[in-house]
Amino acid sequence: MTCNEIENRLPAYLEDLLSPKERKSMEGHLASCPRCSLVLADLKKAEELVRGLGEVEPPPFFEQRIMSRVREEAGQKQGILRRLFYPLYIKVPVQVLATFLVAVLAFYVYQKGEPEMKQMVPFPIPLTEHGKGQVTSESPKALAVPFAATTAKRAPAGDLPDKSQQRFVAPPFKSDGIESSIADSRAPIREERPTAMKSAAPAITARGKDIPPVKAEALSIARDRTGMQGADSASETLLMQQTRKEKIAVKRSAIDLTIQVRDAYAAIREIEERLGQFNARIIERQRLDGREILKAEIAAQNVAAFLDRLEAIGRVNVEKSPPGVPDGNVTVSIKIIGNP
Amino acid sequence: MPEIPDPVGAQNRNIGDDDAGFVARCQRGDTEAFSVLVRRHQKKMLNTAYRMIGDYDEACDVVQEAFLSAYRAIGKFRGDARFSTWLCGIVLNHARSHMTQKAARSRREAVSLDDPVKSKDESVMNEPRSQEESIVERIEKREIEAKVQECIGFLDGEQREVLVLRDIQGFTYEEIGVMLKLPEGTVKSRLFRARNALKSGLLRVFGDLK
Repeated sequence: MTCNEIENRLPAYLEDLLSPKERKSMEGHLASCPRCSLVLADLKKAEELVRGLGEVEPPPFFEQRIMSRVREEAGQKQGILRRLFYPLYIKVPVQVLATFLVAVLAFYVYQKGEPEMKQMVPFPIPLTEHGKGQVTSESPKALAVPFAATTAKRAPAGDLPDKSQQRFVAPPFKSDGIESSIADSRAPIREERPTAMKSAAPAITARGKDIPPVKAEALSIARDRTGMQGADSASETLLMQQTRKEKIAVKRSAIDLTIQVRDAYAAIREIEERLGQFNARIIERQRLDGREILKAEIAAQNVAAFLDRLEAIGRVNVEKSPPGVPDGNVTVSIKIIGNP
Repeated sequence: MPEIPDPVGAQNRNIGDDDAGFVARCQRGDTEAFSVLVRRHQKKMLNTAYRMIGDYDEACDVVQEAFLSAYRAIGKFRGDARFSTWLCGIVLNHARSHMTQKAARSRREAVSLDDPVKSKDESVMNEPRSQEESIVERIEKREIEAKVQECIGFLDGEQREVLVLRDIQGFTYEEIGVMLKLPEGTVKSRLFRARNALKSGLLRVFGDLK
């Protein structure tokens, strides 16, 4: 081995990592070569110097500084994890509950605001298909209110629930009872109409100054006009279509009257009985501002007789009446005012 | 970002480690257990970084960052090697990264003659002082240490690593191999070259080592 080779192998010799043969050869060379022996001595000294290097001490509060950074890191890590991996067994029920609460709140708000909307929107006219009592046209809210198909006799006023509005759809005309002969055919009705109106005229004039007189000339004009008025609204158009199916031409007019009674509930019952006697059909029943309002369809020739019967129940005040005697049916709106 | 040593790459055998309990607690989220590990290893890690970098303050910063990296990555530590070995690998990676950045910065910035020259003695202010040593002896020793440190700094980075880890910190060849991901034979040959290079450097500085 040359001196350079020996010099390169000296660190391994110092670590005692040479094979016995190599070690023996190395020791023989070192004994005979002062230069390589000097290199070995320098190597040992260098190693001593390195091993003798003193240790530096950490600065004061070094551990605290590191741990403050670590705790800060831990806090941030936890915050991120909480945001990203919020436990689903908590997160999902909370979201479901929140959705449910929002839905309930929205429904509650809708229900609270509904009466005001009803006051703003005009009352829909409920229409029925004759003979079936089914609704053909109605507002969405009205569908939610249970309907009760009833006659005047079947719906006593005392059984009404205390609601702001209640509508009844009465069945179609029936040809039984005392007045069945009147309602059965159209020809006898037309023949008897002048008689009926004649009997109605003195009754109306007897009620007071504010009752408009019915004139014979206006009656014929009104007969022509009622058809046009009825076609104005869509609901009446639908009704016209239904009546066409039955091949009965129905012409309508309206009478608004107020009746002042002592006991409103008893009066309602009596009025419904009278309507039943005249085969009238109750279209609608409302309670508005503490007053009961009944709307009914009654044959035009029975109007006068019906008004006479009403006089026996209470004080009648006709607020609006058609200018003439209409054909077919007349819608009578009766406002019942209790006056104890 | 310095590389975190892969614990899976360590030798697959169970090693008795006093730190294992605290490491497990840290992995369960116990931050305070990590303070025990910091207390135990801060000095050794600081000395390793200091001998690698040669600047005390910079070494402190590097060790601080290394501990923080270790905390972040402790969940990946499987205990295949000692915790101290794994931690020292992190410190070495941070030290290497720091020196690379420092070298790049010094190449970019022109050194001004008006810059204040920092004494090397400032970096070893916290060395323990023996009561028996006289002031002259202490100054002599500090000068010698500064020169040795200077010579270590002249070594190639790879040689410096193995020299510091073996001759200063006393890690085994196996542990050094785990840290540097090198076979033992490579570690040894690199160490022997480092020792020869250091001897040559010391001879140039001191003139004579006797």
